[in-house]
This record gives sequence, C-alpha cells and structure tokens, in this order.
Amino acid sequence: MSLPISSTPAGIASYNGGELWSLVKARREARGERQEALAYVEQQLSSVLLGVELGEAEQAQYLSRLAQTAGTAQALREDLEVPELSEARVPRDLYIIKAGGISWRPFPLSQRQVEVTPLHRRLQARMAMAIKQRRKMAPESLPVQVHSIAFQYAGRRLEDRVEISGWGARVLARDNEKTLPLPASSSISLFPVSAGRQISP
Amino acid sequence: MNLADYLFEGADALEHGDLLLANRVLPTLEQARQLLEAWSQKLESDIHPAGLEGFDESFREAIDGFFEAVDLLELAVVEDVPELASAIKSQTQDAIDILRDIQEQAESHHQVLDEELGGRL
Repeated sequence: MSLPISSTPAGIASYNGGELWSLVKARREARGERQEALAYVEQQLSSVLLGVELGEAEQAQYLSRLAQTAGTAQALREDLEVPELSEARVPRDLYIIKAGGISWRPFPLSQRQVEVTPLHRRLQARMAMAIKQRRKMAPESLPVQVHSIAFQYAGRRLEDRVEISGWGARVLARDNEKTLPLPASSSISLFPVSAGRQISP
Repeated sequence: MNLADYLFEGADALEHGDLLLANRVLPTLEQARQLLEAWSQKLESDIHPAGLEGFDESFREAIDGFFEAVDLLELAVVEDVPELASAIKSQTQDAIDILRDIQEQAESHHQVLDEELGGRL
C-alpha cells in the first residue's frame, strides 16, 4: 500500500510500504523495550519482597507507592479531560463523490455510511452515462446540471446540491466548496431529492 | 471527553474524510499539551524509589506517545494530511497500552506485597 504525502514537514514526508513496515517494526521494538523495563521492575521488586534490602516499614511505603502508581496510570488513561470533538467535526460534502472507484482522497469510500438504495443505484448509472457523454463534447457547449442530493452520514440524512459541468462535479452548498475532476468512468454515490434540473451554463 | 478518546475520534474523523475545524481543534490540543506537561513535571518531581524506577521510564514513554499523537493530529488538521490518521491512532494506542501495563504491574505487585506484609505482621 502506498500513501503518498506531499508538502509535509520532514520526518513524515512520505509514507510508502517500506516506511510503514519500519514504523510497525519500530513500534514492536519499543514495545519489547517497554516489557523489559517492566520486567526489571518485577525483578527488583522481588528483592524487596524477600525483605533482604528493606524492612517492613519501608515495604509499607512501597505498598503505598504502588497504589499511587496504579492510580496515576489510570488517571492518565481516563482523566485527561478535554472538550468534546463533535463541535469541531464537519462532514465534508466532497466525500459523497466517488470517481472511477477511486475517491479523491486515499480513503475507501466504502467506509462512508452512504445509504445504498435502488434509487441511488439508478442515479449512479445515469450520472455515469451523462459524464461519459459529456467527455465527448466540448466543455463550453455543455449544459450545467444541478442536482439536489441527499446522503446518509452517521445516522443523519444530509442534503446538498451538486453541480455537474463539463469538467467535473462541484458541490455548491456548504462552506468548503471545491471542484472535483471526474474521469470518464465516474460514478457518483448519491441519490436525488430533486434530480436533473437543467440550468444554463 | 478524555484525551485518548479525543485523539481516536479525531483520527476517525480524518479517516472518514470529515473536516476538523482548526480554530476549535488547536486550542484543545494546546490544552492537552498543558495537561500532559503538568503530569510530566509532577512525575519527574516524584520519581519512584529503588526497584521501581522502570515505572518512571514507562510513564515518560506513555506521555511522549500522547504528545506525539497530539502533534500528529495538529499537523493533520493544519496541513490537511488525513493520511496521518493511522499514525495518530497507533501512537495513542501505544500510550494507552503502556499505561495499562503500568497499572496492571503496579496492582499485581501491590497485591503480592500486601499479602507478604499481611503474613508477617
């Protein structure tokens, strides 16, 4: 698997298969070292338990310290409170569009909770055909279609509008409007609320 | 919500292609850094006694893991690099695993030592 990343700072400049494997190996090694560190604790504590090095009062202190350590580990895991993420999370319109089986981002769209209905499939086929036909024509001569679309995301039904022009599809609504290039084999994972309204270019 | 859940959910959002608003995420990440820094200082000023030093090192690794995940999430949001989602999850999971190991070890030793002391007293 290759995950090309561009324009990122050094260190994560690019992930490819080999680098990802190195990452996995490094994690395994780190985990091995961690286990060694904890095994060392166990070994050292055995001496303590034998009472060779410490008296009972000191052992009681160890007891207290171990309880504190367990509590600290739990607190770090569970009690580092930060505000909810939901306020910062906005579903992106562009992800409803899939072009030729490859999304515009390197994430499988199958992960999206897009509702698949017979209507949805019919629209996919119709739009794919329309785009194929458009590719054979001069872009400037093409009409622009605006489709109202809806999709299911995280249990919510969202509605939006998509403009299909000669060169691609563009999401009109919302604040992160962008243009998508769509290859001839495009299919669009959406279904209409009021599809196919034609407007002048 | 706790930091680990925030990082997982953030990575999940990136994987799903959602937009994370920088003006909301970055202040939270800064807050997370301050929390981690405070814990880090607390742990450094209260090191474990002889025989338990391994816990200090493990705590450092766990906190470093959280720091790393926070940095990666910031980078993913600011530079729009959702491909970092898996690395964020991986770092967060590592930090959690370390903390779980520490807790289990400490509880296990506590139990053994408690029984040992109880038998002698």
